[in-house]
Amino acid sequence: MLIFKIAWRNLLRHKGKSLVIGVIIFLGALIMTVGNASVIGAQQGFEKNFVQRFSGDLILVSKEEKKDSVLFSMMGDSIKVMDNYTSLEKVLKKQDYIDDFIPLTRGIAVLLGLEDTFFGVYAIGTNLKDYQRMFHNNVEITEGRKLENGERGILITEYTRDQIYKYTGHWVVPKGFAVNPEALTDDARREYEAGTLHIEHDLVFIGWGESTLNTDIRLPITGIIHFAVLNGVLNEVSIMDIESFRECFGYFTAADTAVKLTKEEKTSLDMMNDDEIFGNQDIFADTATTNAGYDVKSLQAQTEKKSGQVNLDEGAYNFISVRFKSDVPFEQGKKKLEQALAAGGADARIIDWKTASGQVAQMAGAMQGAVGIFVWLLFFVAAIIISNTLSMAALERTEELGMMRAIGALKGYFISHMFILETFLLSAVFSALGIIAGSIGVLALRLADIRAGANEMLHILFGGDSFKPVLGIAGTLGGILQLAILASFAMIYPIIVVTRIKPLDAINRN
Amino acid sequence: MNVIELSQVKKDYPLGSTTVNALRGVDLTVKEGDFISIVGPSGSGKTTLLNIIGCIDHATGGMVKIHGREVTTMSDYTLTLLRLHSIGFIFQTFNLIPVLNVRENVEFPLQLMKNGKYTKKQIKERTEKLINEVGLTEYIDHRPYELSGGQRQRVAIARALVTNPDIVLADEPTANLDSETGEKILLLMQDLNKTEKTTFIFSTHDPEILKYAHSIVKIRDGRIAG
Repeated sequence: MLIFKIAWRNLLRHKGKSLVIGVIIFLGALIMTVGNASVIGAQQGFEKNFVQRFSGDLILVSKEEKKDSVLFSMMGDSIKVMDNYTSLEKVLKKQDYIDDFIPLTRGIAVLLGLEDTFFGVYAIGTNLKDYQRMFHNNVEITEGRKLENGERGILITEYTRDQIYKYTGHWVVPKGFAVNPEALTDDARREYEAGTLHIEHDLVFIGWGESTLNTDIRLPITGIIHFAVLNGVLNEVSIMDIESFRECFGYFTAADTAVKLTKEEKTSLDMMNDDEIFGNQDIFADTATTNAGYDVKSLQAQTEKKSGQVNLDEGAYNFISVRFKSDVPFEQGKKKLEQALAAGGADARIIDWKTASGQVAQMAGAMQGAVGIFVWLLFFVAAIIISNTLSMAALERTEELGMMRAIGALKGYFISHMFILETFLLSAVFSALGIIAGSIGVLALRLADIRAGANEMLHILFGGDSFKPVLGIAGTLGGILQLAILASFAMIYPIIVVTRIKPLDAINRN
Repeated sequence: MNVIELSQVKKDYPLGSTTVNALRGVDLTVKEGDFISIVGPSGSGKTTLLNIIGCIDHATGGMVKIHGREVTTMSDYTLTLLRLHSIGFIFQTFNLIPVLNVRENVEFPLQLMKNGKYTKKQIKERTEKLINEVGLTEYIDHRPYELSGGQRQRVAIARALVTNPDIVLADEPTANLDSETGEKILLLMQDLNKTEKTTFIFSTHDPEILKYAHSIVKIRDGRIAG
């Protein structure tokens, strides 16, 4: 009680110093509260948006696929083909904890015929209607029109169109539509006004990858798109109809099912390269066609394309995105699905969305982590200032502390405890005020609804299109822990200083 | 019975490249209940001698015994507890705790005793008795800044005696007081020496207050001169 009395009265006696330290702690608590809420908000926002609008909770790939980061690829490397979607679909449909799923392909389609520049378009092959259902209408048409079921064409993102113009000098406009002058870049506008702008309504693509079966195909530009959420992250993802994608990348198409092919023939068509076709002895050893050989080009020629009346799901896919129902915990859903796939004898491997998104999730995590590090750095600086101020205050009280030591106060008990209590009281009062002020600040920031706009980095930093810091119990408790660490760190040196004060110092000061 | 025994006590201070010999072999024996004054000019070693007796400074040579126990080899922890239980201090500049009132300052050493030597009731009674003895009952709730120099020194005396120590050391207790107040303080110390049976050792260079001492120890150039 006496120690508390002395500590409290000392704080009031040294109002100036208490206030200086208190204000630093207050600012630290405020910054920490807002900073933590921002990082948590960004993490939760990114996770929610990415899972709900692009990846799903889990990605199923072929067991043959060794890579984990399958959603994005800097070098355009291929993913092993899944030719068993219909059997997987049957298993997935039976799982009541799954909210939705969609089979997809992805790859980089290289533009042909536009100057000599190499330009690759990152494309997802899908049926747009299904994609919109799965990802909550995340694709928004800004020019042109949407891709209808079974229709051939590509939806190019606004960013990709700008890049195509930048690298090839050709401006892409949806087929059947006029140039939208408002969408033109400055250079394109100058050319447009001068009448020299090269306008393209169709583009020729060829799949980029290891396969030698890739085909160049001409596709109409159906529309220009952007993404409703996380556009800054997804702005290079164009949408191609699934059959065109398969043809472009040399995959087995749904139309190919109209032609009766043996299992070996299908396998040959889905082979990634000549080495795999002709180098794998098992193919030839296990069939009765050892001496017959195959002319792949001839086989392809036999596969009549029937884009109208085929079941698109019969063709090849790269992966399946699976989303759990909102009340299903991730690990529980993952475990159940693993069991279901094993029980169904399904040939698929499960990758969680974070692993599958590879560098994108890592980059988002790194940027959000950088904010956290910045907050800690501020804390570190604050701790040094507090430590210095406390040390100065301790030295100014040498006479008082030395006298206490002289009349019997133990340095390791009374003196250090008194000092710890003073710092604790100061920290508790001003931290509480800082946390309250920070919480009000967080609420104000949420109400302010700060938008990321076209800034890609802000999309990643915010974890979505708007800045939505999240104030939670875990975050607040974490913040209190951080403040406790800060206060403890700041106290180390001052406590060393006070415990070094000797009784004789009080006499000498006299 | 000897309360304090000093034998060939030396104290050297390094001062730049030279060494100051503050005490050059002091022999001193103090008996229980003594009321001793240490006198000598400034720089003679009075304060150093009191600090060594009070266990707040270490001798660089010789032997110091308090109640027959050698203190020069004791740890800081043991010395602190020895000071708390056996020695009372009265400082030249009073050195009260500014944030505590008269009662709290006086009871402070009792509160430091963790082993529950005194109950709350005993602490209250002991504190109020001593405050009454030093004549400050009506100022019991006053803070030090509300008191005169003489009143502060009375509080310091009460605080020094509250633990019922064997020895009270007072380093020039009247130096910052006017002569009339100084005389009253000495009379109070003399009275408490009789009533509490406590050994008092005080230093001074004021010949006027020497008449109150039972015995006088003269010190000059770090040596006992008589």
